[in-house]
Parts: sequence; C-alpha cells; structure tokens
Amino acid sequence: MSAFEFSQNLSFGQYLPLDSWIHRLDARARIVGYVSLLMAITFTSHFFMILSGLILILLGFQISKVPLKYVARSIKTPLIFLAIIAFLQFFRFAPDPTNQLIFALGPFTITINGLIAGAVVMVRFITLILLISLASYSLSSSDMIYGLQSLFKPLNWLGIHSEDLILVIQVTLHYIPMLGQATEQIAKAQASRGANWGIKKQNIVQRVKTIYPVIIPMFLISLQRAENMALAMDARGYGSSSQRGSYRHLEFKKKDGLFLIAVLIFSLVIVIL
Amino acid sequence: MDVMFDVNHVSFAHQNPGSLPHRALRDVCFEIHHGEYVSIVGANGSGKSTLARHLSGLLIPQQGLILVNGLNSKDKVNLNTIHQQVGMVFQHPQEQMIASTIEEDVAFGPENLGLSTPEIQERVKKALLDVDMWDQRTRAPQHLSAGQMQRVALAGILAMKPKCVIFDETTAMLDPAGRMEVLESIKQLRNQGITVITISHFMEEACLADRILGLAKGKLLFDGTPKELFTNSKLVQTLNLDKPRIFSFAQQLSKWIPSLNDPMTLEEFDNQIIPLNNPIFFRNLDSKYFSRNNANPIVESQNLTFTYMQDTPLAHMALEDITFSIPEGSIHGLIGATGSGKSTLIQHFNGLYFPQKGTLQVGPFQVNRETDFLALRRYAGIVFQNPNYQLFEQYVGDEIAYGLRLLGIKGPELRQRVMDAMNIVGMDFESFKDRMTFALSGGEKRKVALASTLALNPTLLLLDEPTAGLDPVARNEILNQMKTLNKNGKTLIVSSHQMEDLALLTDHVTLLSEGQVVASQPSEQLLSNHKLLEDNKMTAPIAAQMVKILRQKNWMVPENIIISQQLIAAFEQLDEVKDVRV
Repeated sequence: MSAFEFSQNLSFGQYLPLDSWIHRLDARARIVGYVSLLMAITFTSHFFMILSGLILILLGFQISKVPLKYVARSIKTPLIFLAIIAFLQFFRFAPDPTNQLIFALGPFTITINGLIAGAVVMVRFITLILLISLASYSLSSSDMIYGLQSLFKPLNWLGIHSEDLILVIQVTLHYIPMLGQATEQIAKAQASRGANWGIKKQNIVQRVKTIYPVIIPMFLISLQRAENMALAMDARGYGSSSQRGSYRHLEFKKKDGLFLIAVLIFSLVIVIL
Repeated sequence: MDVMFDVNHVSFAHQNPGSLPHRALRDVCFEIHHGEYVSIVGANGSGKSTLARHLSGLLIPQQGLILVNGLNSKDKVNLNTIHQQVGMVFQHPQEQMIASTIEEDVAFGPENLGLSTPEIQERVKKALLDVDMWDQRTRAPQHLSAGQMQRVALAGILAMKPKCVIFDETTAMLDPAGRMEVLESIKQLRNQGITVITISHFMEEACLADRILGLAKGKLLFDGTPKELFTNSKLVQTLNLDKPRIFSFAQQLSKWIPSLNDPMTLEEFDNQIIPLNNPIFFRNLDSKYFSRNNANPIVESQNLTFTYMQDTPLAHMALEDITFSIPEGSIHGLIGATGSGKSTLIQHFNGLYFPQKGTLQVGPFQVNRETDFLALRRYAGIVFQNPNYQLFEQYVGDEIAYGLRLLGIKGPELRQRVMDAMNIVGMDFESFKDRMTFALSGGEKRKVALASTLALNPTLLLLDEPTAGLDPVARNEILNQMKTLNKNGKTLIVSSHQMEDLALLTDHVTLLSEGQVVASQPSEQLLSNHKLLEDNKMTAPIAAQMVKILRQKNWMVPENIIISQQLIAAFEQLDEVKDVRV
C-alpha cells in the first residue's frame, strides 16, 4: 500500500453495483430498514440479541452477494482498539454471590459479568461495522439521495426545505473523495520537496508535524473548489424553481413492504427482549 | 438575424481585499446574433472568463447593461430564464459534476426547472444520446475520461434546451482525443442552430469560429474574422497572442507554394494546395535537424507494475510491465490518453510510489520500499500538473524556500538560493518575494512551482503537463526555460498532451496506453506516425499533419518532420538541388 492513497481505508461509499434481491428493493425500504437495525443493535443490552442481529446481517451479506472478504479490512483496522476496550470491560464488576469471580490480581478482578460485558462490546461493534458496510455496499449514493428526498418530503409541511437538505447531503457525499484527492496532492507536493511524508520509523509527534501543514492549503483548495461548484450549480439554474422536479420515480412494491415490516419487527424484538 | 447578446458599455471590477479593485472589463460593447460561432481570445487575466460569466448571467455588470435574448441581466426576475437559455461548460470537468451517476448529473438542470418526472427522463435521454453517452448513463462521473466528462457536462446543459452554449477553456486539460470530441460536439450544436461561444488559448481552435473577439486588460481591442486578426501581426502582439501554427508555417511555405493564401485551418490548407501532376521528391533531412542522445540511462525501468487500491473492490491496474530507459541529459516525452498511467509513472521516478512488481533504477537509487526517499526526492524533483495543488505557503519567497528550510539552510545562503531559483524562471526577487501565492496568475503560479523545485537543484526534473492552461506567451517562456535547463545539464522528463511542445523539446518519446508502453522511439519517428498516434487517441503535431497533406498532393516531403524548422529546411534543400541543376 502506498502512503498517499488516503481513500483506500474508507469502506464508506464503496458501493458495489450487484444485482441482488436486496439491491433491487425500494431505496426507502432499505434506508428505514438499515436505520432501524442500527438503532436496535446499538440500544439492545442482551448478548444473544446482538448475536442474532449479527447472524441476520451475515445472512444479508449472503443475499446481497457482497463478498465478506471486502469487509475484513474495515474490521481489522479498529480491531486492536476494540480488543483493548473489551479487555477493560473484564474488570468492570466487583464479584458478588450472583457474579462469580474468575481471576483476581490485587484490586483487579475478572468476573463472569465482566467477561460477558467484554464480549457484548466486541460483538456489538463488529455487528455495527458489518451493518454499515452492508448498507454502503448495497445502497448507492443516488439510492440514498432519491430515497431520502422522498422520505424527507413531509418536512416541507413544517416549512423546512427538504430539497436543500438533500442537496447538502448530495454535495457532501461528492465532496469527501474530492477532499481526499486534494489532501493527497498537497501531501505529495510537500513530500517531493523534502517533507517527511511516507517515510518509515516516525514517532507520533513527527507524524502530527507532517500532517499539520497540509491542513490549511487543503481548506483553501476546498473553498476554491466549492466556489467553482457553486458557480456550476448556479449556471445550471439551481434554485430557479420553488418546486424541484425529480428524475426518478420510486415505486414501493409489496416485497418492499414485507421486507420493511420484517426488519422493523425484528428490530423491535431485539430492543424489547 | 435576431440578437442573442447585446453587450452595452459593460464594465466590471473584482474586489480585492487589501488592494485596489482589479478592473476585469472596461467599457465593452458588442452584439452576438443567434446561431453565430464566436471565439473569445486574450492573454491569461485579460477578462475572458469574466466576460463569459456576464453573458451567462453569473455576474451582473457594475456599469452598462447586457440584454440576453432581450432580457436585462440586471433584473433578477430574468436570471432564471438566462441560466436556462445560456449554458456554460467549464475548464475542470470534475468540479461541475454534482450527482453520483451520469444520468442523475444530467438531470440536475431539468430538476431545477421543476419539470415533471417523465419530461426530465425524456430530456436526459435525448441529451445523453446527443453526446453519445447514453450507454454509460449509470456510471460514476469520476470513472470517465476527461473528454467524456466534458461531454456529460455538455449533456447537462443540452437537457435544459439552451439557445447558447459557452465553452470556457473546456479543452485546456484534455488529451487530443478529448479535444476532438469537444470540437465535434461544437459542430453538432452549430447544425442545430445553437449559438456557440468558445474561450481558448489554442489559436487553432479559435480559428474554427466565424468571428473572434480579442480582449486585452479588459478592453475589447478586436472584433472580426480570424483572418483579419492573424494577418495583423502588430495586433496579434498587442493582444499577447500567437499566430495559429498552420498560418505561420504556411506563410513561410508560400515562397515555394504560391497558391497558399493565408490558411487558418488544416482544412483550408488542404484546399489551397493544388495537387502536382509530377511528384517532387525531397532529400532526406540532415541528422543535425534531429537531436540524438546516446548517453547512459539515468532512468531504467524493468517490468514495472503498479495497482491502485490493491486488494480492495476498487483495485485497478495503472501500470503493467513497463520496460524502458531514458538517457542522461535528454528531454524525454511521455504521451498517452488521460488515464493511460503517465502521472502514476512519473510519480514512481521520485519515489511517491514504488513498484509493486519489477524494478526501477533512478540515477544511483534502486526504487523500492527500502529506498532513502528523502535523498531520492532531492535527486528527482517533480512539478505537478495543477499548480494550485502544490503551492501551500502564503508568500512566494517562503514557497520557494520551503524545501531549502527543511534541509536546514538559513540566513544569507537561503536568500541567495531562493534568488537564484527565481532568476532561472525569470521572476524578479524583490518584486515577487512578498506576493501572495494564491493571488498569482496561472503562468506565475507555474513559474513559482518550477522555481520551488529548482531551488533544491535536482539532477532529474519531472514535469507533468507543464503548459496546460497557459496563454501562448507564458507557454513559450516556460518552454524556453525548460530548454535552458536541459542545456545546463539537467535531464527532463515531460508528460504532456501538447504534441507541439513535445515536438519542439524532446529527443525521445514514450507512448503509453492503458498502463502499458506501446512505443518508445525517437520523437520524429513516433510523432510522425499518424496511424500509431490515432490508434492511441493522440494526434500528430501540426507540422506532421501538414506534411501528410503535402505528400497526398505529390509534394514528397520527408515523412519524419514534426516541427516547422524541419519543414522549411526540407524546402530550402529543394532550392539547393535546383541551383545545382542550373
């Protein structure tokens, strides 16, 4: 891997245009479904419920035909931090008659409940990472935009311009890779003139010192680009009509409804039990 | 004919915080009729883009007024209609893409007009069919070539059913094939009766228009046909332009071919040459007209292979099995379509990337994971394509001193070396050292970028598109500096879409296509091989294209000619032969 490919480690936004049952679902059903699962897995406290969520998501990978190996990388990077957090959980509880002591070292005690808490943290994070990856692999940004546009429409009754909100999301999605490229360019320019980019054996202070000078030019470039983009949008008549049209017409079919109801019930069960 | 634009005594000044306002347009007056094809020319900073933005209602005149199809752009109510009627294609294709797929991007304009879904879908389809991109509609814009992206940008405008399309330096960053694509689209627009306005630094492109507007320092100095402009040498000089090459070469040839009557385009040149009944044969050119270099290689690459985003779903092979070498002291050209791997290859030479497979030797360095990158990067300096992305200090002086400071150079020595570097690129130390880098013109930025690399005194100089987007005068300056540097012993590797520049500079050229070396040959051999170039989305330099036409008309000029000097020399040798016969 090269030191200059900043966007490589992002699993976010790596849509895979596959033809699967999940990919064909209505975008709104997928968005609501993913969000409800995300909430359920975040808020449930029961180990087995999280585990069943994990199994459901693995099933989702199977159905959506997304190869699991692509996700391995996004789990591998944070794994060491997860392990540390999980390890700290082991010592969280004091032993008592309902909570059996397993190992003690001075004031530090590892208990059954501690072990469970550690496992919960670990499984919960892995499940969430898998879920977010599944969402981004199966939901293209245009699905997301048109889905949200339709979902947010009721906000117009409250006097909030949902189209503007959507455009903000759209431009942001477009901007993330652009920022990555800009950073890459500046880092390369500085490295070429003797900055320590991509040099091995650096401690954390040295690393921060090399990153810092990139930030200001990156903002300047982003602002320039934003200005150009605003100009291009203006030239294409953005804001000229109070009611924006839509290129896509989303159709909510029976299978979308079934999928959504099933996922919502599952989420509810996870949280309540 | 109806008037499309009525520009009436328009003046406009850009506000500069902390200094005097920059007067971009001064009392400009003209009319453009429906269906006209107009080109706006002028040096960098002469007000061309400001003018174009006034025509499309993106800027409002501070003095005077503009009527677009009878609508006053000062009246806010009219702006929506003006935006719909006058579309604009900008220089950087990426920055005008808003959505994540092509079809949705094209739909952006019609969506803004508040049209119904079926109407939008129909317009998107028609527009994409018009620019021949319908098959690719679900792809993401960033995966297209630059030429394709510009076509998509054009489709986005066509979907709004415009009456006029403005191309603001649309071709500046494109490879020859991309440029041809845009020019082809312009032809189609004209057939549909749409008014076309282009802004370009390529005089050859400006000559395709019916009419030229010449700007200098915000004033309209010329309004007339291409021929009227370019046959007036003094005016060409005042406007800081260059004659179109075809015209200036043909002027020199008219001594031998009297039927030539100031052709401005290759088509005119072709029409003006009367085919000879008996072919005239020319002697082959003397070897002194071709530069040769047989020194030892300074760069040697063996089976170099590189894949971006290796081991991810987005992995894509940028370089495959690259094997070639570059002799010390030469100027070596790299050509190839956008995305053929030129930039990736050049960035291997100074260790920004290192080969995943194969070997690469640059000077004394074997480039791999273990290389001393700091030393390699001082040995091989790089100047990137877009100067905006490589200037990061606030002041010019600090920018050039950046690399030197990292080396621990201080005080008078630092000052001296910055001064020397600025001298080489022809910038005055006292007047430029405290200028803000972000406020410089395109040409000045490029000089600063070059100076900041030269300050480190690299042995090997890597240049990525050194002249893209520059006006003819700035371009010639940069080319001359490159020649001088080479004379003073530096080896230059230049990647460029400008075949003319490479024909003038290089002794050897390597052609890349889809990450592979197609050919690595002496410049005059490769750049005159029309078939090979066209197969790889390139075009031959103009002198070579003129030779092709001449040969078809029985003027059997040597085939390996790529610059005007060689062409003229060939004709002069013809005289010598005749003299001998007499």
